[in-house]
This record gives sequence, C-alpha cells and structure tokens, in this order.
Amino acid sequence: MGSPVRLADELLMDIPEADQVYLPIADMVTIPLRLPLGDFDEYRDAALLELEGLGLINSDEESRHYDVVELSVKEDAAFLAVHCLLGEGTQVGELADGARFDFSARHLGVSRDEEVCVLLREHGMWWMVFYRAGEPILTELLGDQLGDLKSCYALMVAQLSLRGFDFDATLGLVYGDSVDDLALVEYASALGFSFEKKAFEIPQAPQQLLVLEPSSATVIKGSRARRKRMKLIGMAVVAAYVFVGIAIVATLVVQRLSVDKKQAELELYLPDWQENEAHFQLWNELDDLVTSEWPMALYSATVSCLKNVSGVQFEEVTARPRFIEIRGSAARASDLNIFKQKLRAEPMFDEYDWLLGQPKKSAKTQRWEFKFRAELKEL
Amino acid sequence: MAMTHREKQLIFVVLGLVLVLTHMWGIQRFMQSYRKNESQLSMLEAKVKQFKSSGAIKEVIAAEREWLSQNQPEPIDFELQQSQLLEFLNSSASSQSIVPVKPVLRPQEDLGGVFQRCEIQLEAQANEEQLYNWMVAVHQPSAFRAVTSLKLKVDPKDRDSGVLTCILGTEQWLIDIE
Repeated sequence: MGSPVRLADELLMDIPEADQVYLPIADMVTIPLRLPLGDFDEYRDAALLELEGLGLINSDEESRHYDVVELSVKEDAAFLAVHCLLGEGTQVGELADGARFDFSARHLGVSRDEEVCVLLREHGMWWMVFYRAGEPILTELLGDQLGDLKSCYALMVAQLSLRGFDFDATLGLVYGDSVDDLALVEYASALGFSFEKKAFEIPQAPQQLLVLEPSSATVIKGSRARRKRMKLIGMAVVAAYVFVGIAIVATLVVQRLSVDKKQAELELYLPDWQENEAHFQLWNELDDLVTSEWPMALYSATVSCLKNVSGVQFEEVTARPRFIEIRGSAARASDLNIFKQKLRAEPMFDEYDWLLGQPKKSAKTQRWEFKFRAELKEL
Repeated sequence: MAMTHREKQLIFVVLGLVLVLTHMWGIQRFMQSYRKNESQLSMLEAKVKQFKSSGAIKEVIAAEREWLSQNQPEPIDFELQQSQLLEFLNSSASSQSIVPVKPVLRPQEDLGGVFQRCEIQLEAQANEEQLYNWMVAVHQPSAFRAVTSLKLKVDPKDRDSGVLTCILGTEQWLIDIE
C-alpha cells in the first residue's frame, strides 16, 4: 500500500489519482448475513438476493456496487458482512477515477478479538457501528447529537439477533472530539461495557480491500477509456495517412528519378541514334532495291523445290519483293504434298508465312489445281 | 444558437461526402501521375534499348554507308532517267533476242524522301533462260536499278514450246535534279 490513504470527505475532488478512497458511512449500507456453508460465489449470490429483497440494488446494476466479507465460520454456518453502495454511490471527481474504493469504517483498526460498538462522528453526524472480528457488520445513524444510546443499542442488537448474530459488545470506542470523559462513564453505565475515547489516526488498511466502485467512477473510467480509444484510433488514422503519404511521395520520387536516369542514359546514345536514324530512313527507301529476296530469287527458290518432284507444273507465277504466288497443277495429290514440304523446308522461305490452299481436282483435265502464296512474316 | 441533432447529422454527412470525394480526387490524381510516369519510363526504356541496338549494328551501318557513298547516283531529271531506263530495257532485251512490248510508264510521284522511283512495266515472250538472263542484266542494285515485280504465265496449250509470257516491272532509283 504505497499510495496515500484518505478518507472520503468534502475534499474528495482533490484526491490524487490512484489513491485508495474510503467512502463515508453515509454512502454505504452494511448488513450482517448468516448463511449455510458454501463457496464465496454462493455468498455473493445470496448477498445480491438479500440486497435486492431490501430494495438496495437491482440485479442488472453494476456488480461492483456491493461486496461481501467473511467474518467467521461456526459449525454449519458462515457469518458475513455485506457492504453495499447507496444509490449511485459517491460522486467522484475525474482525478479519482483510477482509485480503489473501500468503506471508511473498515479502516479504524478495531480489534479482531472482541465484539465492539463504535460511536463515530463523520461529516458532522454521529454513527453507531457494530464490529465483529474487526469488521463493521451494522451501522446506524444517530444524528448530530448523541442521544438515547441504550434504546438504539438494544434495537440494533435485536436486529442482529434476528439475522442470527448473537452480538454482545465487550468494548465501546468513541471517535470524536466533542465527547468528554463524563459522558463516557454515562454511556458505559447505560450499555453495560466500558468506553474508550479514540482519536482519528492515519487509517489502517485491512488485509483485503473491498471490490467496490461508484457508478460515477465507472462512468468516468468508461469515458476515459473511450477517449483513449478514440485517441488511439485518431493516432492510427494519422499514422496511416502519414504512411500512405510517404509511400505515395516515395513512389512518385522514385519514378521521377528513374525517368531522369533513363533520360540521362538516352542522352548518351542520342547523337549516334540521330545519325543512324537518318541513315535508316534513307536505307528504308532503298529496301526493295537492296533486298536479296527480289522476285527472280523467290521464283528460283520455288523452281528449285520442283527437283525430284514429278507431275507438278506452274501456270502462273506472280512475284514482288518478299511476296510470291504460284498457280499450277499436279497429276497426283501426293506430288503436291511433297512439293509443299519442300517449299516449307526451303531456307529462302524460313521467315515466310505460306498460304497453301486445298487443291481441287479439275473435271476437265483430271489434274489437281493449286494456288500457293507466301509472304514475309510481319515483324 | 446551438445546432440540433439533425443539423449536426447533416453536417457530418456533408463532411463525410467531402472527405470521400477529396480522397477519390486524390487517388485519381495519384494514379494519373503514376501512369504518366510509368508510360514515360517504359517509352524511355524502349528508346534506350533501340538506341543501344543501333549501336550494336554499327559495322553494318558503316558498310551500308560505304556502299551508298560508292554507288549513289548523281541527280538527274526524272523524264531523262525514264527514257534512259526504257532504252536500257529494250537494249538488254534485244541482246537476249527478246522484244518487249506494251511499255507502261508510271508517272512521277513524290515519295517524300531523298529518292524518286521511276518504274516501267514491259511484257515479253521468251523461254525461261532468255528471261532469266534478261532479268539478271536488269536487276543491278549497284546501278540503283531493280526488278520489283514479275509475272510469268505459260500457255497450257503450248507448254511444250517452253515459251513464257512475262510481265516485268523494273524500277530505277534516282535523285531528281529538281
């Protein structure tokens, strides 16, 4: 418990973040509960039913509005103290949203070995608080003055008895400056046990804090969590924009640099290219002049394919540079097939597309008439 | 005056729309720039490749230049060239005992380059060997003269005679004096 411990009071708004906040008695209801032995979850469920029955809590309310403390176990029964926030609970400030909450009456350092009745002045009002095993089990508002303690005490003891708690105080403690020694004697005489006057000390933390949280703290936490989530989403969006922006700029810069680099490379070859380009244009004009695939060469190549092929005759040959068309006839279709294969195998026509139409047999001559055409493949 | 919930919703919707449209505009602009740069880059790459390859065939280009410098004809008047070509075709044909007929002279045509092309088409009948010799005599690239079209026909009824009908297209490349 390294952080400072403060009682909740009017200065609650000033409590530093992450402190332990001890809620005043006026903000809590404590009831004793005797239950058959069971596990802690069963005790909590039973306590919830009891609180619902008393109209102190709704089942759909925050489960952090109440908590259960096990006091003792005797034979087949467990004795419990149930602490419940009243209504929505104490209003806490923004700064207290990280605090742990507990009940101020649990922090007086009351002896665990005795059953104690405590008279306590808090926020200007007197309270009677019953302790067993050092834990408060019942509280009662007495008012701004200590009045008839005897009847109040008897009423409370009877109430405890109804709940299965046989309470017999052996010690009384009074926290408050306005009580004098004479009054203490008077109280002892009325209630049948001695009273000691105690000064408020630095509150002592119990072994285990309650798990309590006022609705206002839950709301503040939720709101802070939402703000944090929104902030994270905002930061993620900004980061995504920055990332995408950097990626876009980098892509365009890299592209631009590549273009500049290529441009520079191009400049190196440009003079040679310009000189060559003029030559290419000139040479293109002479293409039909300087080509080796002139009409006669193409014709000669087709004629050479007739070698060892009998029965094939040309009737008309048309040739231009890189183009030839042959019309003719053959005695047998098989002769034409051999001729076709030879045309395809002829080195002169390596780069040519052949259009070898299906031969038709002439009814007049009984010969297979054909028309073959070759053209240089387009680059 | 405080805004109503409906007004706030409307403002959010409008802002949302503006945001979406701004993003679409931005994406479109980026894609345009990206595509423009990419196409420029690929064009430059293709050019660099082309320029490099022209460097690789330097020797071939040099040889072509050399051939041109040695054989390029002197400028001449188109009609003069045409008549010289016709004369040459007739004389070279007669040396093979061929008598060309039906000369077709293509009129001058501006091809937009350095050279003009003067074309004459002739028809002749001869055997294959005569025609071959004639064409070899005509087709002389070093004289800037070439056979550019050829049609050979055989008469199926007179195949045994070996006579072919030939329509020969010849062209002379020239630099017009004008």
